Amino acid sequence: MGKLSQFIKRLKKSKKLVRMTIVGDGAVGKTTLVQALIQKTINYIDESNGAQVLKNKEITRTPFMEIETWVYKDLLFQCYDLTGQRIPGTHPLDLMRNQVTKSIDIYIFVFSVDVYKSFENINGWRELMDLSNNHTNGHSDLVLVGNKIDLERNISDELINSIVGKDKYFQKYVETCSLDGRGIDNLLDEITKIGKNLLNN
Amino acid sequence: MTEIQCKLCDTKINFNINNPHTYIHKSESGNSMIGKLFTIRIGHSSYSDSIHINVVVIDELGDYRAHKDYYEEKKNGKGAPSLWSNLKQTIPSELRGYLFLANQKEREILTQISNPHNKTLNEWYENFSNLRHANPKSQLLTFLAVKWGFIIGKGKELIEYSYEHDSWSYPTYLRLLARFKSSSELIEQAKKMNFDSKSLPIQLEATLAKAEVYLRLSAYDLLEELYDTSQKKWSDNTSLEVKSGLMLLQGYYGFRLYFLGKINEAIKIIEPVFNFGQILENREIISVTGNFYAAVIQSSGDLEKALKIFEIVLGVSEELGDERTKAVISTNMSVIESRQGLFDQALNRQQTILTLPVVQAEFFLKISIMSIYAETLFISEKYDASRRVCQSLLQEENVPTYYKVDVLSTLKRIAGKTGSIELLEFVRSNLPKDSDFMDSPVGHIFSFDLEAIDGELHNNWVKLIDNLKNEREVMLINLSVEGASDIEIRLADAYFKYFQETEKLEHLNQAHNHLDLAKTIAIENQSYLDLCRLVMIKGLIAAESNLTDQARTYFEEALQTAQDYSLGNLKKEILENLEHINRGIIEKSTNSLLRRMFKRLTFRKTEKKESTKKSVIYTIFIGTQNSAWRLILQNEKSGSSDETNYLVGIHDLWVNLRKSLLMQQQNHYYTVSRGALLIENSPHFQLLALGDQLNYITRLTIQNLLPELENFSFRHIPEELEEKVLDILNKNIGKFVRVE
Repeated sequence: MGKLSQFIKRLKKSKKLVRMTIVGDGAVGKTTLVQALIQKTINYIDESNGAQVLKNKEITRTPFMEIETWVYKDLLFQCYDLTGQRIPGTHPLDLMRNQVTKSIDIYIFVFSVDVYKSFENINGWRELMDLSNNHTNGHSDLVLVGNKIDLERNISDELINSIVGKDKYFQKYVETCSLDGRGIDNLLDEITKIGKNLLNN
Repeated sequence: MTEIQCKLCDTKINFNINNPHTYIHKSESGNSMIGKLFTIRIGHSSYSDSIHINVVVIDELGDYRAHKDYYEEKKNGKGAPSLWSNLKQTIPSELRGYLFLANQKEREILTQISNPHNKTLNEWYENFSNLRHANPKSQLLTFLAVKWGFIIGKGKELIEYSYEHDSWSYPTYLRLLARFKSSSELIEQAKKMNFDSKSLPIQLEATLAKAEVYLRLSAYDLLEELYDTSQKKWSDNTSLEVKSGLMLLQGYYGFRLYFLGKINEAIKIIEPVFNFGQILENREIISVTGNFYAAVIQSSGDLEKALKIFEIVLGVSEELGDERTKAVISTNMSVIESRQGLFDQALNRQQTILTLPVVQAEFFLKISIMSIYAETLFISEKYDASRRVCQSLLQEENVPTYYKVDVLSTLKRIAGKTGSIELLEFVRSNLPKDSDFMDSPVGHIFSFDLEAIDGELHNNWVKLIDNLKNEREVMLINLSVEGASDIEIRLADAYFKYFQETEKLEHLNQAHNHLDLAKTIAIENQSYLDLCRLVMIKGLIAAESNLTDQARTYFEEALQTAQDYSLGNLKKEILENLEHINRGIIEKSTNSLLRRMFKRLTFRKTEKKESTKKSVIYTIFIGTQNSAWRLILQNEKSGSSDETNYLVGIHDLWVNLRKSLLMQQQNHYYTVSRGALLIENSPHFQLLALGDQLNYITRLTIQNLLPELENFSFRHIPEELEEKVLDILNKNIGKFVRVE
């Protein structure tokens, strides 16, 4: 491990910082999902202000990248929400690859359960992230999120389960609905658990 | 059986992944993460006037995995499901672009084709033929039958029908005539054909027909004009159908360059067409241009690549069941076999192909295979048989220039081999009068070679040498190095004979130079048999020139090669020569042996050649013999001071060694720890070059450098000299900079 990586690791431990990158096709609901996570954390701190925060954030197509930060259960989460529109040469993965793939603790891959193509394309995002290299140093987890469960399900459980589990592509699978909040607690708990484990190791 | 639920009406639908009757379309999908999956499109009738389409993903076992899409498709007015879109998906892709020409009645007829998902290519032809006979007035149905028949090789059957001059199938008919019943009138018929008022795909058909007729009947000017006009007319049109037509036209246009010997230009034009055909999986383009492309690549000497292209085309013609194309490819493969020395195999294959009905029925196919057969007979040293085949072919009427020249070339080489002045005169008197040919590189090479053989048969060595050099120059300008080895060995032979006549040492040195160049080609081609024979010739020449020690060195080198590559027969011959040298009897037997060796190595086609690697020259030292001027150059990209210092060290050592050894040879070539070292000498200059390896073109360029400097008027002015050297090197080898 290089000196910089060691420094970042020390920094992460001292600040209890968990870094995440969230990717997936356009319109699968990544930004809404991140905002739902933020709302939950604000609710956790102060039940009265949360809804206001979400209302203030206008959800549109993310043109390049959003960086969000929140605190939950003593952990400081920093999240890179990358655009789903993949125009080669202009995507954050082309222009700032190191920032969004290096020293990341949790990679969240999102698809929409009603659009098969968004599930099939997860592989493309995985390849694009090039996570087989040294960026992860074996200290990160990959979480698969099936979003928009309020809509029709077009992908079978068998297909999803074939890529999730021990020694498979993703360690965890969580289903969410950013609109009605289903699964958000579960996702928040999962990433908190992963974050704590990583910081304690 | 897989059961899914329709997303539109909840009806349970069953299908079997292995039974195409139970679904509309199947394609492979999935990726490395989710594994191999299949996308299946299934349709079922609903209660209303529509069909419900579900697009689902299943795994290899047929288990449901996902729903990709679902939608409703309207049935047409008569209640038949919209089979038109199904037909568009299942009809051979080469015909898809013509379906929009169908009128309502033709649409109804075509949608009645049963079981379109499961038809073989031949069944499609039978179906179209039946429709054509049942609807003789339908332009489109006739066209689809004729066009598809043409693509899958049913030409002989199709040519028997009559075609009106304004029929959409008339252009295909002309293409068939050009293949089966060619005559010079066909050019006029093609010129007269005017389809400008027809729809664009049919106009393109007419253009392609003209191109094929012009190419096959050697009307290259007309072909060029047609190409230019069509480009102007349609190059801005981006539709796939127009692009496909124009690409095929480009293939015909490019192949005419091959006939004119412009190999490099032909490759540049034909290669993208073949690639385009493969991307589109257009079997007509792959089949037609694949043969063109392979022939051109073969001519450039890359037999491995040519074989790969043939394999692709063979795959397509087997898929199409096209006997004609299969015969053509098989012939071409036999040519490669003969180049690999498998003469019996090649001759057997060619004899079999010549008896095939499809070959006998097609004049051009027959004569092209006959000319190849004559060539194979020639290289397997069956001269009389080869001569008979060539002369019988020349007796045929309407033999196009290309084939005429091909057999005349074989006859010319038989004249050279058998020393027949009479046969050489026969060739001269039968030369085509066609200026297109005589002014082309092939024409020039042919004429120079004819004069060279004339010089040889009349013991006129200067004439022989001059013409061979001219021939080599034309070949190199056109990057056709296929015959370079032959020319170098013939030049060596000529110079040696010249030396024997004049006893001038410079001619002996020239003989060695050309043998070295031939050795370079043999090394490039990894032809160790030739390499061994060439070193042996050098030994015999040294022995003939009473340089016994040098002869022994060469024989020992040849012996080493023979042992390394298990060349048993040559090893025996070399050992005999060494023994003769030791017993001092070599002078008596050398000359006849030399003649035999030279004969064995000349007038052949190049043997199997691996793709050649470009040479990189790291550093060059050029100086005057008296050391008054010197220039040390380093390759700007690949050179380093290490290599330059190494070369300067070798130069110092060489100068001292040379003084003590009194070497007579002008050129020396060594494999050293840092690559390949070439040392050249001329009366005023010396040159040392260090590179990774030396291929033929690079070595020839370096070898020509010193004579060019010798003839340079300002050679006594260092600045001019430096500029001249850099100019030659930059043009031919790479960018060099002066290092001191």
